[in-house]
Amino acid sequence: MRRGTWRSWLPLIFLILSILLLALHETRVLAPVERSLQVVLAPLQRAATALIRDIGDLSQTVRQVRELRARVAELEEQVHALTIENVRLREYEAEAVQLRGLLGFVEANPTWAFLGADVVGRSACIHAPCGEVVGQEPNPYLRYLTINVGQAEGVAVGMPVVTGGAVLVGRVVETGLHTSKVRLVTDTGHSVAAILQQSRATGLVVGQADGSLRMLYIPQEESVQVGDVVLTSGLGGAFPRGLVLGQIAQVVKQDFALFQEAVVHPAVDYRRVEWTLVIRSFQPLVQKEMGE
Amino acid sequence: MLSLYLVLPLLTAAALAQSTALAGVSLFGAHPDLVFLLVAVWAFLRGPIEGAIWAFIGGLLLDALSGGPFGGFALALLVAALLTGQQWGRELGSTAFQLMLLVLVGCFAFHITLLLALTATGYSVNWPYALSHTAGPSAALNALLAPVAHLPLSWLDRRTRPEGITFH
Repeated sequence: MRRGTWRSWLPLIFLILSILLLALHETRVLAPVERSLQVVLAPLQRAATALIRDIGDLSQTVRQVRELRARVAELEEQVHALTIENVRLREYEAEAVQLRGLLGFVEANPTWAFLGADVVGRSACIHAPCGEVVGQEPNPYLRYLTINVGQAEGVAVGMPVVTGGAVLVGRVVETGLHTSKVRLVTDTGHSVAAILQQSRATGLVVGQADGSLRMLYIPQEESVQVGDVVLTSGLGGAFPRGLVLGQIAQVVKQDFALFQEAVVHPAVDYRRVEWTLVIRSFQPLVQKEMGE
Repeated sequence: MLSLYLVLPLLTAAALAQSTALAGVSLFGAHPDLVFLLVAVWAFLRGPIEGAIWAFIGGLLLDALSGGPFGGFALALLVAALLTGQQWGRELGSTAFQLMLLVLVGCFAFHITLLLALTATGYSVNWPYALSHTAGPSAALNALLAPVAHLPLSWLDRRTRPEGITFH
């Protein structure tokens, strides 16, 4: 009888505990507990991911199919590398034009003192820890990845995460001992200052609820073409400049609006990202973003 | 006899599956919520108290694997377990129909609680899109999947019913 009475209070106790956990999470008191849970669950999650990959591989039993897949993957990698290289070269070309303009300005004003500076620093990812994606976000309303590098490898909150050379994946928002949670650029409300490679028009790329990207606040007078490459502009200091976000898929221009918008096709399918690089040497100027 | 030694691995495996294999699965915006299904069906079979125990354990496991607010999944699953563990709707028809109806309501409540937890903790939520493109379709999909989850869990229920869950 007593046992039954005690048990009947369990739902209420758990409800109060859950609300208490939510409140404590907000005050960051639970961070050590959450980190400890991650330490326990990360190897299990990694093993589960590996198991699922193995099962997927086993289903491809025909040898010829495997060889063809490997060949296609190799060619795709080459195309991808060449595309990235092409993007970089175009970026260098645009940079050269701008620098030439700056040089002309300096020559035109020989009495002034100049100090050359980037909008924000971009460091080469020499010391970038390579992270394997070990888990996806179970919450359907959030877009995060879990990678297998953390505080022990020198990862800190705010560090940008890239894949496929120069494609921006997101930024680190939480670190465990050997794992980190990465908020994807497609997460709702996650905004990245962006620039169009061809027209140099600037805007803000924002993640949408359906997992797509939208570039907002593009000035009306700018010419935006479908297929334009969208890069990070580095403005705001949250991300390095020149990382690839995607390509313009559709331009939404209304005569009465102050700005035009564009639908951006992401450069990678974020659900299929397996390997990432964390740019450890980049120091973000903005630690606290809207929505975090 | 069903003990926490069985519940914990079962829910851990389900949470891991949900954060790996099932995370990318989407059918017209609908996501199969494996942990929710286990909790909801168990609450249907054993009542809200045992459902709440499963909900709290499963919720904490999902919270640990999620980048969202810690406690959000636990709260959402508890609400779902309390709803699906009730007696209402049991005179409406066959067991499968009752289960599907309760899971439909429970899943929608689970998603709404999850969205409320996200909103309350400062996350950006597009309510109309979330309700129409994720919560609604997910509730329908999970209601359809509930009879499938019912088969193994009713077997487990029959095997363990006299003793119930124990804490040793």
